[in-house]
Amino acid sequence: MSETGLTRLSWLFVAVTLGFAVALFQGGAPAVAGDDHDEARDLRHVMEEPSSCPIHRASAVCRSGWPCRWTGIPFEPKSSADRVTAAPDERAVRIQGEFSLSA
Amino acid sequence: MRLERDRASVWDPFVRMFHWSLVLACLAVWFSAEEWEWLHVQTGYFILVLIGMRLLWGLLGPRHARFSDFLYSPRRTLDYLSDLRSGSPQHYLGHNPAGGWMVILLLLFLSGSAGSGMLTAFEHAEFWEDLHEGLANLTLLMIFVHLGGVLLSSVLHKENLVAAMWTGMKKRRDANV
Repeated sequence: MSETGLTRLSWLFVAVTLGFAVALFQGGAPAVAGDDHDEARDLRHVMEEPSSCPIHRASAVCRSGWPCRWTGIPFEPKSSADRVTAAPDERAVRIQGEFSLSA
Repeated sequence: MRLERDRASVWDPFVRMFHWSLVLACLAVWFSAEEWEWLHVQTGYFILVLIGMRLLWGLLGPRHARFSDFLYSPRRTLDYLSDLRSGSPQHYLGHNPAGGWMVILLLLFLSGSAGSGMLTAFEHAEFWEDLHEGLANLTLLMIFVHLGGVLLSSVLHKENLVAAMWTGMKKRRDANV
């Protein structure tokens, strides 16, 4: 192969390698359970919102956001103004109280 | 090989990109080993990609990128090392015999480190982790030997080999090999 051809091939190898690098590193590190980013926190609050479905409301387990498998009523979060109002604080007070009692 | 007065274009763009990408990747895997697992793992894959491409380039590339250009016999390598001790080694336009074998050793040890790192996700994880750590430490040792060799060659030949790997150009001598 001529010198020009080899130089072109060399640049092609550079481009292919950079393509691999982009594919491997694009998007940055995925979120893991240990992270506590704003997005994860928002997502957690949405998951914790009460649903209009009575079984969702009754069950602390069924919070997937899908229509309830028993009633078929879809998950309907309340307005964002109602989100994360008293619940976390109440929990905090309860946990604090339990801690004080046990202490 | 393009000649410009007393200088020759020796290292093609891919060889240079490979070399400096590997430098960055080695720094990244070393410093991400304890805390940034994602970066460590992805960089390990990238090192394997780099090595795969370099192996291919060692068969297809221009003269000085080819393995056949820098793989010398043990006899010739020992002669070169002996000349090195005497302070008057022969000048090579591409890799010298010691440098050529260092390239091979680094490629082998880096492949071993990255490969054993991948295998820690499978059975016998503890064994692979120990092997991975041992090979990584040996690779680091090789890197220091490589740096020492580059420094020594640069001084003996009065030629900046680090700059040569950046620009691709090396000094042309009458007694080039």
